[in-house]
Amino acid sequence: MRGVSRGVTLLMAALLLAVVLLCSCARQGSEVRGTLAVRVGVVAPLTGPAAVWGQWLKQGVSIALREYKAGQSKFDVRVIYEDSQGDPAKAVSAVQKLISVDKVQVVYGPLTSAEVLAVAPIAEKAKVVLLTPSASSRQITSAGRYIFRTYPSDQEQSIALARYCHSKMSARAFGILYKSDDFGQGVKDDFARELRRLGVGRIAVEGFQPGASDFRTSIAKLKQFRPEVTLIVGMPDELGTILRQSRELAFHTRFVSTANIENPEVLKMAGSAADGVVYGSVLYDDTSQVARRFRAEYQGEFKTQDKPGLGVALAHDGMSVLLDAIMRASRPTPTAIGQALGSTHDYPALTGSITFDANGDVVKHFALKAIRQGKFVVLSQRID
Amino acid sequence: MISQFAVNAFIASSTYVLLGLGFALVYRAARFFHFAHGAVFASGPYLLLIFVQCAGVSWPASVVLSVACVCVLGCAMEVMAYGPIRRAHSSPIVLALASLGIYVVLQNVISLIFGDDTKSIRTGVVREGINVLGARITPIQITTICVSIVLVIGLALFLRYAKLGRAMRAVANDPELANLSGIDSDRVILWAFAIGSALAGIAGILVALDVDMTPTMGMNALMMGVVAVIIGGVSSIPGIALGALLLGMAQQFGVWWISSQWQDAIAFIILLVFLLFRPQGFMGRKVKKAVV
Amino acid sequence: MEYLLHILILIGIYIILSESLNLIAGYTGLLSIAHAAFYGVGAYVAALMALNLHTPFLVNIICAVIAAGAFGALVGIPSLRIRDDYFVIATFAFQVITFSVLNNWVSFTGGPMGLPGIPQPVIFGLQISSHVGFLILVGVLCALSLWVTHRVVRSPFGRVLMAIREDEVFAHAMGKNVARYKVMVFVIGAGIAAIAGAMYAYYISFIDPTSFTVTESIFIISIVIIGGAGSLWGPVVGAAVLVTLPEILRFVGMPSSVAANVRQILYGGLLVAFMMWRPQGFMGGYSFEKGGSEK
Repeated sequence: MRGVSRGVTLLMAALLLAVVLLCSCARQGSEVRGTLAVRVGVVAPLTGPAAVWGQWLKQGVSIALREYKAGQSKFDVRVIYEDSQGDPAKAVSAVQKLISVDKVQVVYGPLTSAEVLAVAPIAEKAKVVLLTPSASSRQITSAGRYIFRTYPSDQEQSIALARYCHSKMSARAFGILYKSDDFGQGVKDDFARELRRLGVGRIAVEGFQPGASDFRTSIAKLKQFRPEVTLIVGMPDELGTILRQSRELAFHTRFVSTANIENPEVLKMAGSAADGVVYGSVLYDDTSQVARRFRAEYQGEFKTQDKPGLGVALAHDGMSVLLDAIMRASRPTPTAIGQALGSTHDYPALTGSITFDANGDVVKHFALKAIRQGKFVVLSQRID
Repeated sequence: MISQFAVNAFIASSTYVLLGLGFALVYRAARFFHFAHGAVFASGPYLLLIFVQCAGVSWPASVVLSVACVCVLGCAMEVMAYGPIRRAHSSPIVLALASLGIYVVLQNVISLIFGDDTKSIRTGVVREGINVLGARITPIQITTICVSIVLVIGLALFLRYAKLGRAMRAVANDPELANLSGIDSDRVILWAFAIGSALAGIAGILVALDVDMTPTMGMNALMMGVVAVIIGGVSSIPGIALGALLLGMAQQFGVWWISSQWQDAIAFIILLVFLLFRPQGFMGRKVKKAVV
Repeated sequence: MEYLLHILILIGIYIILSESLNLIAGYTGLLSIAHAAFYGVGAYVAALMALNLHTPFLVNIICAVIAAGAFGALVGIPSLRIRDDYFVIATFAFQVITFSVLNNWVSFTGGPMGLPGIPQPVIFGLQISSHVGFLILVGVLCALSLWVTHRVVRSPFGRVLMAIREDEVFAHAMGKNVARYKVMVFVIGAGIAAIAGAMYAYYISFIDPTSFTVTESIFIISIVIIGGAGSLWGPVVGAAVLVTLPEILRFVGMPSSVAANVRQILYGGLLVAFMMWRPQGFMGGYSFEKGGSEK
C-alpha cells in the first residue's frame, strides 16, 4: 500500500488540473445566451458561522423573485449563488467568478461590511452594480458609485442609541462589552464617542475576541464598575451567552444592543435573562397588511409555521428594490440599472420605504425596540 | 471580586486539566502530538446532542453512551491511522501531521452535520448563580470542578496502582524495555487513547453544558490543555493539574488587568517562556537535548 | 478568463509561500506552523507603508521582507533551545500571538476592520491594474523564489541544512554552527513569505487578520507536505492541486451549503492519506522517516 509511485500521483495531479481547466472553459462557453436576461450574482455566507443569515437571504430572495416573475417585466432574471462564508477573501473570489464567468450585471450581497469593502473596488472597476441588504459599516458610504445598500449605517444607530441612553434613560455610568471585529469595533467607537461628546465621563469598555464563549471575567469587571447602562455588541449567540452569564453572575444593569439581537437564538440561550434589553432596529412591523401577506407567502413557500424574521425581510426588501430597478431600467446594463436604482424614491418595502441618497445609502431611521417577556416589541418608531 | 476571579480560574482549569491529561497520556504512550484530541473533545457534546434530542434517550444513559462513543472514536484513530503509520516507522512529525488532518476532517464533519452555529443542550431556567463568598457559581460549574477533581485523583491512583496503569507508565518510560518485559505496547497505547478520549469527551460535555458548543471549540481548548501540560510537566499528574490552575489564573489576571482580547496571546506567551526556560515544566524531570 | 487568471495568481502566491516553508520544513526538517504569521507580517508592513507613507511598491516589498526576516529570526532562535517535537508547539504559539497582535492592536493595524483601499502597485512607472499584469508580476516573483530556493539548496549552505535535517547531532559534531544555520533559514524563509504577503495585499487590495490564522498555516504546510517536502517542484505541484481542488467544487454542482466543509474534509483527508501511504508527497521529497534528527 505504501509508496504509491510518483508517476501515478503526478498523473492524477495533471488530470485534476486538466479537469479544472476544462470546466472553467466549458462554463464560459455556456453563458452565451439570454441577451435580454439580467444575471444577478448573490454572494452570501451559505456555510460558515453566519450560515443562518445565508439561509434567510436565500429565502428572502426566493420570495422577491417569485413576486417579480408574477409581474410583467421585459427582462428575465437569473440568480446565481456563490458562497463567501463571510470571509472577505472568499467574497473576492466569488465576485471575480460572478463577474468574469457568469457575466453578472448585478451583485447582491455580500452581507458583512468587511466583505463589501473588499469587493467594492472590484465591482467599481468592472462597473457592476452592487447592493448589500445588511452591511452597516460607515466606510461603505464612500465605497463607490456602483455600491448601494438598503441598510442604514451603523454610525447612525450607535449615535442614536447613545443619545437615547443619555437623555431618556438618564444614565451617567456606562459599560460596553463588544466583539473585537469590524462590526463591534465600529459600533463601540461611535457609541463611546457620542457619549463623550455628550459629556459622559464614566465609560468602562471591555472587548472580547471572536470565538470567545466565556465572558465571565469581563462581566465581573464591568459589574464592579456598576454601570447603569451596558451596551453589548456581537453576534446573536454571543449576545445570548453574555446575557445568560450576566444573570448567572448577578450583574444588574440595563442592557442596550444593536439590531442583530433580534434573533430567536438569543431568546433560546438567555431565556428570561434577555428581558428588558433595549435595542435599535430597522422597523419591521410584522402586523401590517404587507407583512402579513409576506408571512403567508413565506409560510406557504417554505412549508413552515415559523414567522419570517427581520433577516428574511431585509433580504427580501433589498432584492425587491433591486428587481424594481431592473424592471425600470432602460437597458439590461449595469449603468442603466444603477441609474434606475439611484432614482428610487419611496419604494414600499417591508422594513420601511426606500430612497437612496447620493452615496447609495438608504435613507432610513432606526426604531427603538425591546425584549419583553420573550417577545420583540416596538417601543417607538424613531429612537431620536 | 477576588473570589469571582478565583472561581472563574477554577472552572477554566478544570477543563484544561482534563484535556491536558488525555493529551499527555497519548503523548507519553505513543510519543506524538495527537492534535485530533481537540476534535474528540468537540465530538462528545455533539454525540450527546444526538442521543438526547434525536434518539430521545434519557440523560444519564446518553452521557454514558456519548463517552463510550468518544472512546471508540479515539481508538479508531489509533487503529486505522496512527497505528499503521507508526508501524511503517514514520517519525512523530508524520503522525502529528496526520493528526492535524484528522482534526480538520472531523471538525468539518461536525460542521457539515450540525452547522457552524452555536448549539445548546442545556435545559432549565436561567437563574442567578449560587453565592459563594461573594462569587457566583452555577450548579453545572460546581459539577465541572468536582468531576475534574475526582477524575484527576482517579487517574493518578490508576496509574500508580492498577496493573494497566503501571504498564502505561512502563511504556511511557521505555517502550522497548516494556516490550521485553512482556507488555504489549500496542494494546497499552490503545488503552491510552481510550482513557484519554473518555476524559476529553467528558470535558467537552461539561463545557457544552456551561457555555454551549460550536464545531470549532476543540482546537483552542486543546491548546490550553497543551499549555497546561507543558507548564506542569508532561509526566506528572500533579504537575499538569498545577499547570492548568496556573494557566487559568494567569488568564484571569490577564483579562482583569488588560483585556479579554489578549487571553490567547497571554496563554501562549507563558507557553513560550516555559518552552524556552523550563521545558520540563514545574514538576517534570529535565531531559537534556543530546549535545556532543 | 479573468477567473482563471485569478486562480493562477492565487496559485502563484501559494507557490511562493510553500517554497519558503519548504526551505524551513522540507530541507531543514523544522516543522513550523508559524508561516502564516510571516505571510501576515509581510502583508501588513507592505500595506501600512503603501497606505500611510505612500512609498512605491518595490520599497514596500523590500521593507516587508526585512521586517518578516527579522521576525523569522525571532522565531528561529527558540529552535535552538527547544526540543524538536516541542518546537512545533512553539511555532503554534508564535502564530497565535502574531494573530492576536494583528487583531487587537487596532490603532496600528486597523484590527479586525483590516486595511482597505491598498493602492495598485506601480513599478518603474508602470501601473499594474489588470489580472494579466498581476499574473505577470506574481509569475516573476514565483520564478524568483524558486530560483532563490534552488540556489540555496544546491549551495554548501543548503547541504548543511539537509545534514541538520538528517542528524543534527552529527552536523554539530562536524563543526557546523547549527544554531546559525537554523536562524538563517528562518530569516530567508520568512523573508520570501513576506513577498507573498505583500503580493496578496496589493492584489486583493484589502487585508484583515482572518487571512493569517493557524488554519492558513496548516494549509501552507499541507501544500508543502502533499506536494513533496524537500523537493524543489513539490510545492509547485502541491499549490496547484490544493488551490484548484475547491474551485472544482464550485463547478461540479455541489450544493453550496456543503461545499466549504467538503473542501476542508478533502484537504484533511488528503493530508491523512498522504501521511499513511505516501509521506514523501507527490514529488517524492523528504518523508520525515524515523532515523532522522527526531531520535
